[in-house]
Amino acid sequence: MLEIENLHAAVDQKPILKGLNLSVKPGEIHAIMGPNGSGKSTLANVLAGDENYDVTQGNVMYQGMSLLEMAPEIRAREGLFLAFQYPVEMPGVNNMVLLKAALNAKLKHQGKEEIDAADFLKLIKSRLEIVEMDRKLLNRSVNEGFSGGEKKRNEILQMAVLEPQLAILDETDSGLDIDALQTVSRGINQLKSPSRSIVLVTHYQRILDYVSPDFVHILINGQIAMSGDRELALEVEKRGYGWLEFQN
Amino acid sequence: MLPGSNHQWVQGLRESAIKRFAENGFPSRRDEEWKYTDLTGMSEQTFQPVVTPGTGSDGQPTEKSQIDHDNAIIIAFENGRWLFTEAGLDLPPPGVTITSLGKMLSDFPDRIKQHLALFTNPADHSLVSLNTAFSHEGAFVHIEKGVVLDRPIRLQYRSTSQDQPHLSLPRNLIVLEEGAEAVVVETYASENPFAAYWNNIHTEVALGQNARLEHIQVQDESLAAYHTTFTNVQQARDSRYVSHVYALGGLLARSDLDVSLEDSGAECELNGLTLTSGNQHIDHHTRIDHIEPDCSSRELYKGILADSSRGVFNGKIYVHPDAQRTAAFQSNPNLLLSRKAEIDTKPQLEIFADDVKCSHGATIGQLDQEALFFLRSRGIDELNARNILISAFAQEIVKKVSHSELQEELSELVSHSLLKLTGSHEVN
Repeated sequence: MLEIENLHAAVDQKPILKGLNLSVKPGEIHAIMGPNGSGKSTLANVLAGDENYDVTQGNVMYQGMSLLEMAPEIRAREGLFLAFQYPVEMPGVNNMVLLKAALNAKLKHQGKEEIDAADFLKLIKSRLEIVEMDRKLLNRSVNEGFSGGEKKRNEILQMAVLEPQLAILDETDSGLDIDALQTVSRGINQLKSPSRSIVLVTHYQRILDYVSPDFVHILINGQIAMSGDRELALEVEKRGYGWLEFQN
Repeated sequence: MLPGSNHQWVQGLRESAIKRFAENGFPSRRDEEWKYTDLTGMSEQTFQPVVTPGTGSDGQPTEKSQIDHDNAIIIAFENGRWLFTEAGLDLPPPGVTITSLGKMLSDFPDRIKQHLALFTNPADHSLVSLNTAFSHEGAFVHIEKGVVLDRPIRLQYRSTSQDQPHLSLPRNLIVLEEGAEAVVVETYASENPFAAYWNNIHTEVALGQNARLEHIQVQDESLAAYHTTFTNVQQARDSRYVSHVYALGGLLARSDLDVSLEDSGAECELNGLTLTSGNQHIDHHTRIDHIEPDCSSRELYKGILADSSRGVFNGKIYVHPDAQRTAAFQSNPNLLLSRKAEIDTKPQLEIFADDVKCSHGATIGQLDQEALFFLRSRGIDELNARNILISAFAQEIVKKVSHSELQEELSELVSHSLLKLTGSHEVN
């Protein structure tokens, strides 16, 4: 699904990722943890194609394609999805219009017919139930005036509608209360399938109580310092990141 | 002979206006009010005045210019001549007069004497003097006390290609008596997108106590046209004026909107949208006078400028010494789609009272890169993503229109106009 090899990336010429390697196979859930500034969000944004980040070295293969050469919209249509840490507010852009435009762009890319209005409504209705989102938010401008939790649910709703092959969730758990966290986790778990991979970027291990990862990686100073299973996350929870930084 | 010239007061009005125009001539860039808009090119052209009175007659349309889906009452003009007044199947309710101003001037001048040219300060605008001096036609809308008209009134001005560039001087008088309510749509358009002509318009609005007017002005002239328009609004106690100004066409367009809040409790809301491309030049001057206490004004003018087009916004708010507890808010955000596009924005607050809430803000920017990336990350290509954001910026103004059918119509018009600015992709 995803093969990252020796990835280096910089923001404003400041190196953030310094030779990152990661391999994600279909059906796997990977958690990427690390202290602030370790490069977690940079990794997520580089994978989605944010041009604010310069890839200076390395290679990323996604489903046999060279990911870094693809435009952000092509990555999305090929099934890559990034749930943003800070979802952007877009006054005047209707939530439904966004969902439909995004879905149709993907269908068109796959050579399929655009979805008709009735099927679209049906689809939205079923996905809304997964994320337990208020219907009224659908006809509002994207994220405008949404609470923090509503914004995160809205990201998961987009994910549920687009059904990506590779979902990257950038600190989707941060700022959520326990109820919202459970709902969002349920949304993620619903999407689990043998052909779909999920990369969870998180600062805390809390979400891993609800979404169980196959692998846990600790990112420190732009590199993966240690990989393990669920136990590693619990270890970090107990001891903090300090001991790993020291080891590194 | 111009209509009304057999009446002394009309003749007097015209003569003094001729005199003033002769004295002042065309505005020049030396005048602070015309600093950014140069009429030299225009004043050197020859325009053929249209002076023949209209040939239409009430209730018998010679031609219908559009499908009357909202049961509107239409008064239509071509090249400044009155074509027809048409109320559809249902006659307007009693107390509503919508007719040719030329006819009023020649037949019933005393019915308009009370309002015509009363509040216009001709010293400010020599082009208003030009209109007063020679205008022979326009619309007269009068809504009597307490009459609430929910059907929109459409004043439709259309220009066609002529052998020579022509000058039209439309003059509108809209009077709402105490407690009256109406929606008026004023449209200036051309059947030929490259027809050369000059429309020099003056619209006067008088709102009685507690009257309510939603006033939509759409400038969708040909791209070779000159359009100068002066709108003057007088508001009595507790009246409400909501204005929506759309500047879409024209080679050079200048719009002045002056609102005077004459008595306490009066409020106005001014919304404006300018879309320019090519080498269009569009200049908006607004002025709000807060004269008495407890009045409020809210102004939102937006501009989207492409290519090497040029925009001007000058928003004056005068809070007079007696106007305590004034609330006045003004905002002028602009989106530049090209490096060559240019906007000059100048908010001007002059406050002579001490207990007031006033704010203003102007921004000039490009599209939000973060929002653009967000849309692309959802599979939407860059061009479409840009169009979605541009459209969202523009449609915020359209959403201010409370009449739902008109809102829909304007939304389509704006989407269509945006194609000019953004290329061939359909805007969602």
